[in-house]
Amino acid sequence: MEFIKILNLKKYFKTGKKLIKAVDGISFEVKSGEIFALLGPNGAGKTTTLRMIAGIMKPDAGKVYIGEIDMIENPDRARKIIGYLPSDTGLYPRLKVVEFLEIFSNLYSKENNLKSKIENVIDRLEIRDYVDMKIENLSTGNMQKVLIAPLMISEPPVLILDEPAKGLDVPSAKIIEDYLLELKKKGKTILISTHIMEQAEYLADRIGFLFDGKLKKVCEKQELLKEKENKSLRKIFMEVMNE
Amino acid sequence: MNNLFWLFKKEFLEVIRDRRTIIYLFVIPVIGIPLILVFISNLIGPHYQKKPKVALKEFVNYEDIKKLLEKNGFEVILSQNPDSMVLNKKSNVGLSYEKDTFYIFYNMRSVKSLSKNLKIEKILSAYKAKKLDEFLKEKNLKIPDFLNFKLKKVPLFTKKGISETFFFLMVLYFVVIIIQSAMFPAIELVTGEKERKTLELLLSYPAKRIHLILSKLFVIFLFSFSSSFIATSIYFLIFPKVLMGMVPEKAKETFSIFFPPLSKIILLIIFMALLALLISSVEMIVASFARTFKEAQTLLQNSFLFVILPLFFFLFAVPEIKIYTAFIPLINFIYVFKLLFEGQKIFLIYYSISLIVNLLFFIIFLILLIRLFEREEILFRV
Repeated sequence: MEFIKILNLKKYFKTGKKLIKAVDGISFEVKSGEIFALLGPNGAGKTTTLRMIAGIMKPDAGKVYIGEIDMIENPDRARKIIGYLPSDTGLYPRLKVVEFLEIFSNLYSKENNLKSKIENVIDRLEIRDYVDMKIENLSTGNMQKVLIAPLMISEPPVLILDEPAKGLDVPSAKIIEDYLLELKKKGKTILISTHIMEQAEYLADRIGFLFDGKLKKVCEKQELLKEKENKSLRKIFMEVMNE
Repeated sequence: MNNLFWLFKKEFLEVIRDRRTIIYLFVIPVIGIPLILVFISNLIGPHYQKKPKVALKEFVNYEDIKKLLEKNGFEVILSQNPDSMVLNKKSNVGLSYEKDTFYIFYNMRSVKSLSKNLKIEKILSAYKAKKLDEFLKEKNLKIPDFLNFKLKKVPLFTKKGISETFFFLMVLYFVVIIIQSAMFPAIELVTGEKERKTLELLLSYPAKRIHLILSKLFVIFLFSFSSSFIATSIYFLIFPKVLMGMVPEKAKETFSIFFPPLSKIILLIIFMALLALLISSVEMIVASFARTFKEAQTLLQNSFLFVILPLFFFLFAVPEIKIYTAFIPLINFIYVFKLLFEGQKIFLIYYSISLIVNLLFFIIFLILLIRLFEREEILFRV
């Protein structure tokens, strides 16, 4: 069963007299218990696509379904089951880490055991020493961990993550990646965007190659691995881009 | 409602930890009121406490004029150059007599000089009439009845003028406090989200846009209202005793500051809250067009001048309350506050119209805000 369904999605921007086709009629779906990676260079349209799926931007044309919910018709309802991690985002500098976690987890979840969940995630992300610190005093890596923490606490059925390991060192990135694989096993629907080919290969069940706002190719990981026997992932990527 | 609470908590913590907010919340009202006290005492002092000075150049029979001026409350300084005495601010008015003409010198830029020169003109006219009368009597002539009338001007402006100026200045001060104290929270919570790139994160959470807007609006309102509340409390705690102690008894008929009764305090709080709400929504709208703190500050300060300057001129042009002003937002607040501060009786129709008009404007601004928060070119204009 597909949980995210995108049909002929379009988004155009006007800069002066020039019309930029940021997303130009893409369609794909992501199933429950699947990780789908959108792979593409900078400016390919990954962030705009994810923003539309997360209901932050409205598409010029096309449809986005989260389960049975039409995102364009019912964005508030759809957002309740989506966890979105933007890539180029800041944080609230004057909030303490614990305050940020408490406030943003409560926006998702109304569970009684939220406090113990917050404690678990703090330990899992290894940020216990920073909980009473103001966010402005954190390192970039710790900020990224704090950003993803409310999603780990509330565990919504659909996760849309734009460059989830951005700014993280290898061990911290591994914590997040392992966590995503664990969520996949729990049947969550996960859509990520990345420009790191190895990350897409490690995490994703299927990979969509996005270039110039168009989805050039969608392939299964097994299919990709077969191709990889003959050539490098980088070469495959370049070939798709040039098609 | 639950989300609204958590969003409110987030916005509140962000703003309360900003030093600028504390400055506008406490420091400005606390420092501002004593500064106004000094200013007002300077305004009142010359009118009520010091004798106006007139520099008089000696001429034949000048003694008569000197006595007359002294009798009318002037301090006379004899001088060969009354004009330079006025220009050097050593006297308020100057007077000389040459070739059958009295010359009255006054300073165009001094309110006191302007009013005192009129008084001297009146004294001289009375002097002329008296002398003419004496002359005619001496010649056994009589002024015809139709010319035998007296002219009496009642100088209401001086005392009331001070009272008007004082209350308008105070009310404008409170409006400025409300505008200024809403400014930084509005920039922080609206433009700040864009500049820090946190808006996308916030929008992705399952909170309704209306909740996002209301939580921000309520925090901005809270700081703006609290600041004006603190300023008003200081005003009523200090001014009735300290300032009124400086006002001479004879002036208290037209100029009095008192602690208002409960009904007026409640009205004052309602209108202050409504103004803070209105200003907060307008400042949120303006801040949403800016991309950076600096841009927002420039935009808000310019719009602030755009509002305050015409307001200032309007109020001095139309000092008396007119019913049509109840339909003009902001202007109606000024008159409502002035009536309440002055302690005049409750003008129910005016208050009711003002309340309805401002509520309507608030609803319009709120709808505009909701529309703006739907527009991507506004939200993502970074």
